Amino acid sequence: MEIERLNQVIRGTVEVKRKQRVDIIVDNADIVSALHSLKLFGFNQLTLVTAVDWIEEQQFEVVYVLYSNAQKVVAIVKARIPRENPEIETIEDLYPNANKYEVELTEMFGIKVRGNPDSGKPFLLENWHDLPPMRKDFDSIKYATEHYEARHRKENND
Amino acid sequence: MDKEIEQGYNEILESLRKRSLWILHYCTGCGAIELPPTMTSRYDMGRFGIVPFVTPRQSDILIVTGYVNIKTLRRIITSYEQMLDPKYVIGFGSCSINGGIYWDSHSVIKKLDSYMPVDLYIAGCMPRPEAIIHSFKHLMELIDTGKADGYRRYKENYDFYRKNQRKVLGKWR
Ligand code: SF4
Repeated sequence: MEIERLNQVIRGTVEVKRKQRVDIIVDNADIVSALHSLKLFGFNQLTLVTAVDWIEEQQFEVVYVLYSNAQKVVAIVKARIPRENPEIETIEDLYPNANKYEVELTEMFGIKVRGNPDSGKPFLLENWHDLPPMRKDFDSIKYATEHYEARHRKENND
Repeated sequence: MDKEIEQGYNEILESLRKRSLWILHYCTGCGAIELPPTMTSRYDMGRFGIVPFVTPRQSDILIVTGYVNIKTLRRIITSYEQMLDPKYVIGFGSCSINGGIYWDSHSVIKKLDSYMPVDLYIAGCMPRPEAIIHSFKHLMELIDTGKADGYRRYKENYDFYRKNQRKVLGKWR
């Protein structure tokens, strides 16, 4: 397998977890170049882009999941970025389907995506004026109780 | 005399109506997965004259299959208002009754009947095809006895519904 060679082309830590899975940890600045190398390596499918909110460490972790059809390997690229004014570079020109994932990142986590023209437009949430809902400091129960009328059991019993 | 004729005419109409109900084939939540078995040969709701249909204008029943989030609510209200009278709404599954497992979600409404008139609820997560068939038969009874009057209630209490819709959707029309 050529996967071991990834170390030589990617700036970051490459860890071969299993035969069919590699984890790659990179810096924010190296995301695009790492994904570019991976694409040249045959990782032709972008499965998912998402983020994890590590609120205690004041960081977001952006996660890209890639798949190589030829080698049947999953590569997971992770990058930690600061929680204050989070910003990443778009990878739309490498993987066109990243567009919607990045729009979702902006909407659900508040991570700005430079170079994506749709980042910041409302997509899934309409009429939203609160914190991005997937952040850990967003109180979902409070929001739901305040905004949506609940059914009380009493009125059902009559 | 006129009144009696009108009443008799209405009774005939209602009993004819209940034999030909078309469902707007629009699925909002995961409960919709129980509709295909209900439609197809195993449970075969065609027996009761109930078939799915693709456009709101030709349909009589709107089934709200499960959770309704803000984005969906806007669409189902539009679809509902496009349907012609008489029209009936079935709230399907516990999510439409009280939010179900999405009671704490940031985008799911919890009480469907504040936003549109619901004639009938089916409890369950998700309701089995038997329950759906049962609800259709119950809806037929309601229509026969003139109790399925959601579309009239919607017109009479339009301000109430509109106020609640505005509260979650913002100013949208
Ligand atoms: S009631 Fe259950 S099956 Fe129906 S939409 Fe809610 S979670 Fe899904």
